[in-house]
Amino acid sequence: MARKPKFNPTGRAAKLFAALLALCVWQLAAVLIGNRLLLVGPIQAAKRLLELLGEKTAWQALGFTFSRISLGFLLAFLTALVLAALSARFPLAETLLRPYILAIQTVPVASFIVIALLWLSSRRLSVFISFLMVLPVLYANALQGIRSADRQLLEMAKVFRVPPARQLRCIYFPALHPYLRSASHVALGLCWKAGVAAEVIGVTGRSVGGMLYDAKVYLEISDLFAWTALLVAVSLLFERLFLKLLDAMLTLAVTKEG
Amino acid sequence: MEIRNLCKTYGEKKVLSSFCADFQPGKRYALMGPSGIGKTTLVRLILGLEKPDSGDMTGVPAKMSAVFQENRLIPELTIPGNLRFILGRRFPAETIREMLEALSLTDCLETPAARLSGGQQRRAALARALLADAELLVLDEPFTGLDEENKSRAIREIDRRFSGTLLLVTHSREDAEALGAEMIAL
Repeated sequence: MARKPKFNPTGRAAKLFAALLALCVWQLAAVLIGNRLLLVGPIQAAKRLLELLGEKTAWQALGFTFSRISLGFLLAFLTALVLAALSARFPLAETLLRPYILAIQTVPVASFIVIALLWLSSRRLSVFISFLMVLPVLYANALQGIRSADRQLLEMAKVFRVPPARQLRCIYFPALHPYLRSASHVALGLCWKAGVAAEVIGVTGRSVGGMLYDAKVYLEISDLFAWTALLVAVSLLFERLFLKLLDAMLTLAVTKEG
Repeated sequence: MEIRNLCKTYGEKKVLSSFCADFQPGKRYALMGPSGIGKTTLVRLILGLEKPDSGDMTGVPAKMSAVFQENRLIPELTIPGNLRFILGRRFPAETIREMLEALSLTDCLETPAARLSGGQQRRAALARALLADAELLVLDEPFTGLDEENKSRAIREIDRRFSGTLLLVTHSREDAEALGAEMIAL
């Protein structure tokens, strides 16, 4: 007798069902509210999204925001690695950095955006804010990763006089990789949220944040949903690409030695 | 290599107290004694991995090689990868191949070190130590986990390939004699 397939509550089918159910709940809420100025359903949002994809200005706005936020993230990633390496090598550096890291972690992002608006043009704001918001997350994880490097392997490398670049590639990088991976996963979500918030508050023209601001001013709620969906898609795509790049770098570092 | 009045304390525990010894270049020595007497501490001091509390060490060679108590292989790398890690890419592949053949390691060249058996890992650690360019070779219980056949192979390779100063840390008189090492009781 053929066995009945068992339902897996955390499997793909269950997740797809949950997503479809959420869309139905959204559509139902839109129908019940019955006011397009307050809430539009997924069908209207999808229609508007398709329209946006055909507009040149939408692609320009998306390109502008993507370039700024990804630049902020990449700068933060590199800065975090340098600062973590310094802190791991010189304990005083960690102590000296602590107040800045704590300040960035505790001060609300809105305060930073308002302060930054006094210093920078609104077109550069999202680079700075996304950089600032993800730096502590990446720094803390990179430092932990460096410290998790196997001491016995480092001693072995010292005895055999292995050049620092090779130690970095074969001992530190594999130790750092899981920390950087999980930190990047969190930080990428964070930098898109903070970066777009900065564009909204700074009313940055020709940016996704600027478009969201316009949607709010002109009560174009379908634009708001369409832009949000587009942002989520782009940020997820960037996250996947970046994490794949990190994995590929690890594989390359390991296979390079044979 | 001269060692004079070497002292090392960990917390309250005095591990080495005024240790003195002379090691002649090209000779073999076996540091012997019960566990906890400070044999490994002494070789860690010689290898520059610890600093002594007091005492002098002169004439310590700049080029050293070691088989540690643990295998200390990079788990993601294969045996050739682990050897290349210390030898660099320009080191002749032929020499590596000869060594791996001599230690019967040619059947697991594609396997990452983490997935090798204890004996294979130990032989890989021995291969690494013997291929490194060194004037002083430190072997801390080098034959742990090796059967008699592989132990004989390893001893043969040590005799064939290393002519510098050798420091063996062991509990086994037999191992010290097999390597022709002068025994020093700690």
